[in-house]
Amino acid sequence: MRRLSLRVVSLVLVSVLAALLGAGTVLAQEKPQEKVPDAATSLKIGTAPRLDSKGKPAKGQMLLTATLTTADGKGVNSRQVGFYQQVELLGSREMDLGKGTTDSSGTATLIYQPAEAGAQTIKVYFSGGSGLASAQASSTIQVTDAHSAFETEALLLSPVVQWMPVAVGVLVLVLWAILHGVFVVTVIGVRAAAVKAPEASLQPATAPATTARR
Amino acid sequence: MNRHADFNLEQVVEAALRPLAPSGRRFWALAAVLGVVVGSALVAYVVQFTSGLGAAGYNDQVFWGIYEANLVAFIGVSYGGALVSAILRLTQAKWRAPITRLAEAMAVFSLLVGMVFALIHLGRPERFWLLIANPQISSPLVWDFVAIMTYLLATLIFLYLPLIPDLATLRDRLAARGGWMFRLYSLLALEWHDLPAQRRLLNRATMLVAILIIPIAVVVHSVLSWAFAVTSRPGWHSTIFAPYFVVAALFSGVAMVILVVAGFRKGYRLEQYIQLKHFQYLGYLLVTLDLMYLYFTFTEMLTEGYAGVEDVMPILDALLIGQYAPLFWFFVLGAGVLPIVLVALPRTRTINGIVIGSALVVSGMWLKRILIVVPAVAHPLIAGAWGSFQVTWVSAALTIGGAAAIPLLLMLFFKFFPILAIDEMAEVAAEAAAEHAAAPQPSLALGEGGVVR
Repeated sequence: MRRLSLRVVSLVLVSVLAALLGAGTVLAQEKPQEKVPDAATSLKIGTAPRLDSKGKPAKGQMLLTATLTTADGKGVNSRQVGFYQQVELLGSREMDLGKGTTDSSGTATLIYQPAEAGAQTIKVYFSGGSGLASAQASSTIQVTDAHSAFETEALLLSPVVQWMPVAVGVLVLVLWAILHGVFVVTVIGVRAAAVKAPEASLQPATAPATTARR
Repeated sequence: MNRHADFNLEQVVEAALRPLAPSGRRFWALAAVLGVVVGSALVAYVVQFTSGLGAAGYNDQVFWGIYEANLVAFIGVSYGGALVSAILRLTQAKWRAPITRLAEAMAVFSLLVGMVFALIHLGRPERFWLLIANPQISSPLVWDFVAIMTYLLATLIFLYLPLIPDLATLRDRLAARGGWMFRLYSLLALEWHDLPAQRRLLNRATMLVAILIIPIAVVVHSVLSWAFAVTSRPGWHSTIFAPYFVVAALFSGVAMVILVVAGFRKGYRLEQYIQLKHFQYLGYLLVTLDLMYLYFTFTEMLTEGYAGVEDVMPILDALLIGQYAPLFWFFVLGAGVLPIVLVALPRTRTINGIVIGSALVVSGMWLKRILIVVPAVAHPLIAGAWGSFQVTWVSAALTIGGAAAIPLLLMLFFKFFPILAIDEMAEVAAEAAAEHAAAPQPSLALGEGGVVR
């Protein structure tokens, strides 16, 4: 009896201990980890002239810059930033201009060749990640030198192409003049002939019922 | 001994002015039927105007369809009328006289109907104003507009000038009665009294316009074809399109002249003046043009098919053996081969046979214009399925209404103007009489014993 009681008590104690250990393990696992908040970042848009190999400003091109910094003003390097232009094309849309990677100072640069001059709204986006929060910025820039990407060389036939519409137009006008001229001259001429003709010759146009043999 | 037929000018005048007399029930019944058909077309247009071109079967992929085919077909038919009259006039063909007025009037009215389809196919007709206010010189549509307006001016002058002497005839007949018709004819007849100076001036003017109208019409149909050919779309971008369209216009136009002449001949009992020979001569012209058109069709198919250009082959397949094959082969056999057979065989070279052949040509050529426009547009330029164009009641009503408008306008026109070119017929008869008088007559000298030698 005594041995049985001891065994039962031992069994109960072991079970309780096991339960306590399991509960502790579960409780330890379920305990939420403390999340480290992403570092805030900010973007700033800038522009700069693009210089060619001779150090002169390249015609129709400029540099768009986006500087990515953390809250304490330190530049964030090796991060990709997207550049977009706000356009009106079947509604308000953001046209993808390209992507740039930030350098050691946190600045990403994009060579931009605007198709038209004037005020343009540029937007930049950083998607975040690796402990950095996302960021975006928008700025209106003034483009003074636009250069079409589709300029073609003058064709050999350019003078012909240039003057062809004029030549065809002249031909059409001449034709119209001839047609109108024929009509007007006929109308005036027929009337004038009737005025000049003696009265007796102004017979009815239809001859009396004559019989012509053929 | 020569046989002679009497040519009574008074009878010609009576026949020419027959439509001007008060019309019977048949005329008004036919006019009413045609009027209802045209009225239905107007209703259909209102539906299209309020609902958009989708109501006519147009969609994003097939943006050109039946209206563009109608535009080409009706303007093409106009050329036939102008050409028949112009060439016969220039060559002084004596058999031309009874049919020139019908041909010239048909040229004007079919051109006007064709021009209306240019507005119908725009969808928003007020955009037509941009052609005048802001024309893009580099656009074939602007070239079309200029060419068609020039052609319209030429056909109107070509219709009016030979009409002047006949208007004087009407003026003189109404002189005693007076009234607004007399004043109208007096105004339009321009004091015509058949004076030598007037005759010389009118003949020169008519011949000059007849000479000019031929190249003008060639240019019009070439420019119409360039609206298709200067695009880079497979099936349209073809160097053969300009002469192809010109020959097509002549072909369908001559057929339409035959139909119009046959209809009005029967309606106004002009059998004495418009005879079998007129239909036969026009039939020979029709066959010539038929062969030319079949030749052009074969040439185009051969050059495209032999080269096997990847973009073009699907369209060729669709025409020859695909979804458009029944229509294409109906055109080839019905409008191409059968009219030749009907005119070639003496047994079928009758007025009825030639009229049946012409009806097949007109309908077949309209179908061919559909086959030029639709398959090339329906074929996808990049990946994707073929588009389709479904004829709706709107587009069908407008097409049939346009076709009905031509005979209706002609009937109304001839209520005021002579259906036969009286002056021309008198001139031809006078020439024939002069030739007969100048020809040596066989002598009937009496020999000895009163025997004729």
